[in-house]
Amino acid sequence: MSRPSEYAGIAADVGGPLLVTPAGTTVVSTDAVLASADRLRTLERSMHEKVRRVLAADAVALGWPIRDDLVPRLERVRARCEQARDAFGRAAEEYTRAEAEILALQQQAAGFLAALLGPALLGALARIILFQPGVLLAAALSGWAAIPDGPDGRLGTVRDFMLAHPELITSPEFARFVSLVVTSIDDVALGLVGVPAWLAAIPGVDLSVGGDRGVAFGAVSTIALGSLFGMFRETPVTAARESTAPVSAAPTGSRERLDRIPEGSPVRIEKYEADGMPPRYVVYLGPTETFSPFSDHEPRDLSSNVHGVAGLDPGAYRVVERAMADAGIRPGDEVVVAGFSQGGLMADLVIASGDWNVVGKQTFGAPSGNIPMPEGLFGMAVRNTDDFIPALAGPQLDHHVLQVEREAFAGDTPPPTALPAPAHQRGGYADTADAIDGAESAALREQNRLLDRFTADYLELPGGQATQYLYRGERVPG
Amino acid sequence: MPVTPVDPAALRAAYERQLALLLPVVDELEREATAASPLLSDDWRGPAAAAADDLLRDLRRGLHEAATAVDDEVRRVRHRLAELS
Repeated sequence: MSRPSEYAGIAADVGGPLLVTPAGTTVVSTDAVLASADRLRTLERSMHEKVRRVLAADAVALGWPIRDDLVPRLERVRARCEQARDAFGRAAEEYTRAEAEILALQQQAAGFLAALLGPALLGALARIILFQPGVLLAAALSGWAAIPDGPDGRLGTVRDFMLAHPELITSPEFARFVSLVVTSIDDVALGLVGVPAWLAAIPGVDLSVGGDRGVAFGAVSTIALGSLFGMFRETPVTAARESTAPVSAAPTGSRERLDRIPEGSPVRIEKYEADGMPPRYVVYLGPTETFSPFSDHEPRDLSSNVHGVAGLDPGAYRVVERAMADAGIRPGDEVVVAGFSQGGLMADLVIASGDWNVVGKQTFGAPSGNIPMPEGLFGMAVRNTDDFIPALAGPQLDHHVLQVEREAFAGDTPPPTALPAPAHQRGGYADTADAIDGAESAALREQNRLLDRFTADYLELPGGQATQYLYRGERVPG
Repeated sequence: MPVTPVDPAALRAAYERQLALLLPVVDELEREATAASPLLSDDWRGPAAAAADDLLRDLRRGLHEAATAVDDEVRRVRHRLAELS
């Protein structure tokens, strides 16, 4: 597969190992450890089968009595495999527990500081705004004037600085920091209403919705604050079909699914049909188009992101719903959703709505960890650990779907400087998708296979065919 | 006590059945003893690297010794079979 041009000069494999959390567990392993455990399990089964054969040989009537030490020898090999596999499991559990304990401590400390300092800082800011606005204005102007005035103005200088220093926002530590900030906004609110900081720091003392550690509350607060300045305003939307075309082949592997997620049009729907079978659909959802907080015509905007994290009804989501209805998807039809960035967030909102029969998903870099998923979905959620965008929805809430994580730029090679937040760009996720396609563990391969078969199965049946619909959405400014 | 004579054809069939059961075991054990490591490279470091080396050594030795032991048994059965001829 080709790599995006902004990754020119970067070696293909600068990412870390794949971290895999199979569905239904919180234990994080590497793909290599899981695959090693799979191979040891295969060897155990092989030893078990050999024991069975030796015992059968010994039991042959009139046969030569088989010596007694064969079965114990085979059993020792089997037990050694089992022992090593158990050790892998324990190591993964201890790593996960240590990580969880560190995260819990960080969350408590962040909650304490937010509840202690947040109200004081907000109060000081409010007092300055009310009683000494000139001081605030002077400070802001001084800060602005301190930025060198480049060819594209001071904003251009800020942009160029961030592009030249992607390492500032491209690390697992920064992503963790972002996650702690978004889960601490509710602690500021608790502090404002007088809850002592030590109490706000206690796990469970928060303003969470469905156990999301206050992420939705933080997003709603952001919307409320932004609305004072005309930001994050939701509007009605329209969705129009742009084109219809036959699909020549089903996607094979995670990389091909990522490549099918549209960039220009927000929604791509593929309809798979076969003789005598109900239709199946794959809904591909594209990323954020504009980061302006002021709603214009584009529904894939920052407003949709914030409303989505808040669990509200973002315009981008309503475009998806309209497109799905227009494509003829009925409530009982089987659907797989795939999305990148905001598209992943919208995909998870489609699942969480319960209005559609979504059976599988594959999301890349979606800020949607606070959205509860139902059990029984196949597929996976993919995140780069040095991508801070998924962290905007806090830590992963549930583990009903396989989670795959990987540091996009783990080596000493500096991240590329052509685009902002390189670990969140398609190139960063394309490398991770390639690594997934090359994974060895049964846990990961099986989910990739299920996603592949959902579409390929129909094309192999009599009358198998697929059609693609592209949709464009528009906000209708009110 | 009188010794019941054993039908040589029945004995031959029994030994051949035992060989049919044991020969694949020898083949598989020999193959597994020389196969690539079941552990995928994961940049094992420190104690984990030492433990991985120990495991690999134990497995290869155990598989090799088991293959040799089963092969010895196969030889004995073949010998008994040859004696019937």
